[in-house]
Amino acid sequence: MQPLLNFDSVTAGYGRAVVLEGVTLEVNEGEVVALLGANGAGKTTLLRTASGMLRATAGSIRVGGVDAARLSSHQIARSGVAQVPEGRGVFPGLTVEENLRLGTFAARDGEAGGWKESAFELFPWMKNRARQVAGTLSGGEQQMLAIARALVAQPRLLLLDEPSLGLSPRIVEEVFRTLQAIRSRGVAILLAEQNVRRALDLAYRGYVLNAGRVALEGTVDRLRDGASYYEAYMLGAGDARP
Amino acid sequence: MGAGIAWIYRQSGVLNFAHGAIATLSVYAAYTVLDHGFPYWMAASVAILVGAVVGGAVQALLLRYLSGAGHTTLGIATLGVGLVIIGAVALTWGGTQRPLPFPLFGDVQLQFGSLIIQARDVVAIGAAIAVLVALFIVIERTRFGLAMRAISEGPVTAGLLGINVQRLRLVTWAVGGVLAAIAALFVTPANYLDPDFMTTFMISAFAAVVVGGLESVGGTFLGALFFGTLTMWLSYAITGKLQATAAFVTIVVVLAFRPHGIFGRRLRKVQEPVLSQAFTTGRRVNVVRRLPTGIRRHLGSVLVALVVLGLIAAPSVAPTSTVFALALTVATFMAVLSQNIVTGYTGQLSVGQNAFMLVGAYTSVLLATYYHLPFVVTLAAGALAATLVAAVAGVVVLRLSGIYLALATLSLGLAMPELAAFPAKITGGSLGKEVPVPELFGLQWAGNVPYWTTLIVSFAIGVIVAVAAGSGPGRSWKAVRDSETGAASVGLATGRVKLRAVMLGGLLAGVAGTMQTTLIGYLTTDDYTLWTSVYLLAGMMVGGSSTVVGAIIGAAFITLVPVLSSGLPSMLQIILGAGIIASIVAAPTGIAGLFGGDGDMEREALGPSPSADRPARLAARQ
Repeated sequence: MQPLLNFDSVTAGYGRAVVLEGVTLEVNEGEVVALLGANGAGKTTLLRTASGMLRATAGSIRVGGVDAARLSSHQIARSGVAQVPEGRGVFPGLTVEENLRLGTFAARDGEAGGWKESAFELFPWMKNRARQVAGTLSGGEQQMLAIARALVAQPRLLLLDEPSLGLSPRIVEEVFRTLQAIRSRGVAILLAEQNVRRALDLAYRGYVLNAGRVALEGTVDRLRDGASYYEAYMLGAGDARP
Repeated sequence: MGAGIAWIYRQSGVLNFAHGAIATLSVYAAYTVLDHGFPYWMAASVAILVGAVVGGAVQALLLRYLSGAGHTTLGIATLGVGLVIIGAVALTWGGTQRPLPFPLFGDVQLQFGSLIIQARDVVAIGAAIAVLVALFIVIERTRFGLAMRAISEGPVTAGLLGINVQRLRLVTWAVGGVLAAIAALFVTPANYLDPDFMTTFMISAFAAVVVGGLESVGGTFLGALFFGTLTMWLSYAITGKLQATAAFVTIVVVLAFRPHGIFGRRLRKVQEPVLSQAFTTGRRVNVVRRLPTGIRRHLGSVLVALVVLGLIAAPSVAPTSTVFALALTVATFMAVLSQNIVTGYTGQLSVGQNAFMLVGAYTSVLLATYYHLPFVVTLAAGALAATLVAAVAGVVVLRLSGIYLALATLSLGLAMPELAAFPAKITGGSLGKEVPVPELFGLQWAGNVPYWTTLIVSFAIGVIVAVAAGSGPGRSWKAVRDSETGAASVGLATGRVKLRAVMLGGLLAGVAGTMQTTLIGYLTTDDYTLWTSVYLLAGMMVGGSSTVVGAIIGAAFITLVPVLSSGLPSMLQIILGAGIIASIVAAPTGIAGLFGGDGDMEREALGPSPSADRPARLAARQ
């Protein structure tokens, strides 16, 4: 079976600044994959390249078996890849309901399919606040709105960029409970995270990025076993434990 | 009219200065169709079609190519497009004024008591309301409108959600063009058609838009009603000659209390990275090749030295007419520099530097005429007066930023010539006033004396600005330009920094105005119109913003272009417009940037967006 997302020796960056160098990675149907690494390791860039926001300068990217090099981001979105971008990407001037409705643009059956109900089922609080302007939501609520909006698109693959960023531990807990629920629906997830413990609790497999390269990959157990190994990468060489 | 501007602004955040030009073009197209004996409805359809095509083309060719650039840059780019279109219209159809007939009701008049109304005006108002209702429904109630609002708040995120941003933008701009054409069809019958007309009319539209609120289409309509009534009342009660002044006062007063218009609200944006086209499409765009560092570090100074040497040698080798042209160029240099300080260095888009030139010129000329003061005194007085006016204008206008600032300064630039023409007995109005022959320390104002005087004054000012720009003041200007919040957080009083920059700009403009008029020997109220400001902006963009060297090149460009266009004003507009577009697209840092001026408007392209991650911002600067 074709993997949902397949990176083959992908190099990408911003002009002269090369951020990803020869990254090979894949995410299969229904799989949760953790993407770990320190700040600046290239996690966000990898997700941006996957969603077509950014072009790879070398290597090939396939989404659902289709070459994604020529697809623009809206086409990738319509092929079943939804991204919850860094900083959430909630439209602050639009209401909660309008934000959710925007998810239907990439959905296979458009506005049909009870998108509103399924979002409210996952996040009941949204129902009473559907007409509230999203800019007035708290950080955690915005994060959940962004996740809900991505789900409205009925994606096969969800790209999540640090959903725990800037949230209090209790809210992080809630976000990850939600992700658990999404996992059980069979949606594949590629999760970029700094919160290693939680990410590994959720994932089946993982990749550790360091300075734009895959430094370590494998099953969650393998990553846990090699704890000191990848922690060296996370903390940087100077801080490596003996 | 305003609806189209608000529509496009709502969608893309770009203030479309080309809107008036598109309207003009479509009406002329309609006129041609009528001329060939076709019925009115056909002419109207052609006009609307032309509006759609040209509107779409502006987006497709220019703005798409420049996506990722800042709103100031995009606004200036549309200004360039507008210039080219207007110039082309004037070339094709000639500068003649023609009325466009209106098919319905002819000259039927309706009478309500003592009030007499043209029937076609009622139709126009009805049509305006219909258009507005339609727009409102589209924006607020449809899927298309939702996508449009999403794009205005965060285009990148909208793309991630499966919205085809490019196509939607194309459609919006085409619709904007249609709105321009419709407005033009309704407005022209009440007026005479000439190539500049729609641009003049657009000022009222801008005023209406600002008063109503840029984001609010309905607000625009109320703003238009309000502004229309105000100008009508003003023209009955006082005079019809102060329309632009009324616009300026209205804009300033409204924005003082409601910075986003009466019905507008602040547009909140998604925090998202600003990625340049090059990264998102893989295409190479706007890559400015620079000369090797070693050469380019010294090239600027070498160039300046050469220019100065050339200027010093000029009187002994060049004919008198060339020396005179050089003197004018040198005076223009100060004006471009003035624009550069305000817009290039400090990042405040001013489209009204002509106002300060006018004030400087008139102050010195009037003092010389009525009080026979020596030139040194009148020059100083002109500079002082321009500085003071800039200070007052700055206090009022600098509360605004971005587009609102551009509009306020634009209306100031329009208002000032009008104000100067008002006491025509004193100022001579558009007929003008002869400048008395200046006295300068007993020297005769003849031969090469005017040239040397201009050169010395400009050189002194150039040196002072170069020193200021390279040290503390320059750093604070650029800090304010690149991030006002950041500048404030490191302890800069940003308001004061901006005000001082504007005052310095006013001073330079005042000196430039005085020098120019004294050289020419004649001054009319039409010498420093809004066009002057447009030329200055063009000169700044072409030469390179935020550099003193760029101002020299820009001044040369401004003076040279009229020569190239052999006196045809329409060619002049085309060349200037094309110059603006070319410099923005091909060399965002201007000609001076090609060999290593440090400043650029490119940085502004990244905006103060707090979210963009570091590598992206750093890389985009390269």
